[in-house]
Amino acid sequence: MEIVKFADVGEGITEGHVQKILVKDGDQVKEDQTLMQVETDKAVVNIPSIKGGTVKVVAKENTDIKVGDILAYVGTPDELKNIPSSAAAQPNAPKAAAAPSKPNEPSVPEAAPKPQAESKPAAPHEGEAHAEILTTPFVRKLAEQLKVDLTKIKGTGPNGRIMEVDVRDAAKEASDVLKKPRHPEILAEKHAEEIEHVPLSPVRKAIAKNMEASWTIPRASHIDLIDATELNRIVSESKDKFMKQFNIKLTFLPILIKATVAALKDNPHFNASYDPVNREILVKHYYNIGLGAETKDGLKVIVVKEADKKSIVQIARDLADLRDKLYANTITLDDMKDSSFTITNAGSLGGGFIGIPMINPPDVAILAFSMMKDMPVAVDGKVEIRKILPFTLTFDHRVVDGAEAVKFGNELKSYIEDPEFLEMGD
Amino acid sequence: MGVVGSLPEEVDVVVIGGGAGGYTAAIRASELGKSVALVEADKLGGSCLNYTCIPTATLINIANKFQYAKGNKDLGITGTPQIDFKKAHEYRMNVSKKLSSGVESLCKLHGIEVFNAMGSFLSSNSLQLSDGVTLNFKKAIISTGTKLAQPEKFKIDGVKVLDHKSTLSLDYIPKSIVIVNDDYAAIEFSSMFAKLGSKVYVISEKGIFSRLDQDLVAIPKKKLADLGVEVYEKDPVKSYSDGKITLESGKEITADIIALSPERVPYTEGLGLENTKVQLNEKGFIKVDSHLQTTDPNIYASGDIVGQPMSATKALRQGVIAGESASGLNSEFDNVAIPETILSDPEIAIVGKLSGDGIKTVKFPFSASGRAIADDATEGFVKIAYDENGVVKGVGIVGENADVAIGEATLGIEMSAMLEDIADTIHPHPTMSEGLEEAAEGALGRPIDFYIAPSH
Repeated sequence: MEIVKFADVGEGITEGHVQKILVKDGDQVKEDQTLMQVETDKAVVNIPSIKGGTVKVVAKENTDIKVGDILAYVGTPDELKNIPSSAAAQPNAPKAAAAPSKPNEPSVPEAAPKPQAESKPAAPHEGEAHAEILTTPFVRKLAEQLKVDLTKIKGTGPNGRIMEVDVRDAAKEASDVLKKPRHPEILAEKHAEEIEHVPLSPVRKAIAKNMEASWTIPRASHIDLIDATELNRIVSESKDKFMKQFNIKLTFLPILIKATVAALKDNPHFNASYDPVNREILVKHYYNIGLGAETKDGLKVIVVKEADKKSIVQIARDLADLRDKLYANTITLDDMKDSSFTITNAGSLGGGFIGIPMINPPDVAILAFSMMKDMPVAVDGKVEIRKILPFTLTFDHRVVDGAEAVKFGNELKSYIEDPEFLEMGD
Repeated sequence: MGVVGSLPEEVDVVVIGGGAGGYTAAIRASELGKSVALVEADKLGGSCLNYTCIPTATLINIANKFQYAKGNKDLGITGTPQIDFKKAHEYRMNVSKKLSSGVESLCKLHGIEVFNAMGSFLSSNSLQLSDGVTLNFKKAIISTGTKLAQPEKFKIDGVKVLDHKSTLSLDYIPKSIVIVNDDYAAIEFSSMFAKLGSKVYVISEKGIFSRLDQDLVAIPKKKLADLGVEVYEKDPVKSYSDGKITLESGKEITADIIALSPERVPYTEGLGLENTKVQLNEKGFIKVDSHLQTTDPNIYASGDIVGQPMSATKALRQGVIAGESASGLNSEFDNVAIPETILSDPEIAIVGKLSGDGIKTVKFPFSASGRAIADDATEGFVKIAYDENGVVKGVGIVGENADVAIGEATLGIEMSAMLEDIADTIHPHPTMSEGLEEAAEGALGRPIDFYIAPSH
């Protein structure tokens, strides 16, 4: 008999949400057949059967799971006889006294211990009362003096051993919590009936986490306007030909990507990551361009791999494929990871003049194109109406300076304002 | 000291009982800056120091040394030693005296006022002493321990039928002795008197140490047989008259001395608990919470008086906790494991759990230990118990100096040690302590000095 678990799929994913179970107890399944789909903060992951046989499902639809949780068993009917029913072996059931979080309780912050009342129920004298909590006598004593309930703490030591720092953190959190009520509590006093609690979806949680990490980057932005009249002309004129020849709808984006890659090649420190521990710039000699894409679940970043080695036609094809997958919810983790630089095309959202993007860590910079507009500009002393494309380059100021950003911007401008250099070819 | 009719004395903390659970409480409370009074009707140090643990250890040491002096042919030693037991008795009494006066001088150094009297509560704030003094206190700690129950089939006369207190105070070696007991005395007293030259009989109604892992008890039991001790297990005493014991099986035993270890019952009589809010449980022990606070918020209790396990080992720790709690610290008796040692031959030491759900064990035999072979002490083993995560849950040792390594095992369990923590710690060579490391290595499936066939 094989046990199907929610395996570590990498990318720092630790939890998921069982979206859809595709088999039912007693079904015959083949090796590699998809048993269920699990939504993670990055993508929907298919959980395959490890071998062929009869299946017994333990996971439940619309429940949260953690890496390592048992999802199903596959074996002979005899082997499956003694497996407890899904209700009994619910993956997220509290496992031991050490993790007593009740799934149905209102969301009390996990590590916040309640200050202990003076009178505890009389413990047995045998000294076995705390036998299941892994810690040390020093930490137990500390917890007693700081009035921290060890049964409510998750230890960070080996095997969940509660360490001194865990107790001190819990005590500090408790005292902070005691000092001032949190905002939700203040709101609840006045508006309890008028507040709707919307839990973050896995994707939103991931965005929140990523943006918090992004906020810690010391950043600056460079804004400029591109005269995209020529680009607009070429795209308009080539559209039909393009469709006929390659069966693809030509947009600005593949050309903007190609121009960006050209500018990156001239300014390699923008195609990089920063290592704050060793104080190093990790310059990347590959050009995987991430693209922010709005989906019904929230912002996702799809990645066009090796954009430097691809023609505009190939990039356009890649983009079309990735979009199709995104909307069909068949996008894979692989399609969304390993970007070296990110572009966000805010212009496609249909409004705005200039936006300031957030860097997508661990990238060093992000380039945002805003909406192209007809604007009056001075050309050779006369006012002309031109197609103006604003852009913002937001960069990690630890790695690059304003002068480099201006140089990057100017080169980007020169490529886009004279797009003939770019080969369309297949 | 006060006299009848004098004004009550005021103290922060009064401790009733100067034994293992009492003097420790008094010292800790004093260290925390409290004014402390200690009330003891008998000798400071209590039962452990004056009548049980220490006297047993002393007499077993004497018996073992006498036994060694007889030589060992394998080692090329022979001899015919003499023993002057009057002298030995004097030594044994002096050991207790020395330790008791040690407690007394510690109390003096800490400024603890010691009253040689009985105490009885007048209220939750005052204690009447038998010498006339009244003590008004903020907090009290009860550490009165236990007293001996009257045995059913025998009448203790102090001459022929003795309790363990008198047995350990004999100033001569009896020609023959019957030990009626299932626990410590059955194994400790019997080998001790056998080595001193007595003809020894053991009557164990339930079986010797039936509460423990029999794997650990088997080797010392075999040693009893080698010493010529006659053991009758699960064959209770039917009757006793005129120096003759008749067992249920019909077997008749006659001996000079009959040594009993009567049941120990909580000593609460005369304490005036009815004048306080202190409650007892159904067995008569004082109810306490994890802070060792009784149902009376002013009164704490520690040691045997709060129930099983009844041992000085536990009481010495609980006294400290009670002293801290009574002094206002938020201390709890939260120890994971209470170790136990038995001065059998060879010794047994045990801590934690050796069996239970998901618990596995591995044994390292001392026959594979260099030091044990050198010491001619290859009988015995270290058994280590661990859970599915490799967290050490218990250790049982039978062998020479078993008590030394059990302290380390206890520390390991208190620190939530994993097998690797013990296996990867260097243990000095050649010592018996290596046995624990070897057992942990064995549990990890990588033993060095012994072999475990791989299991499937």
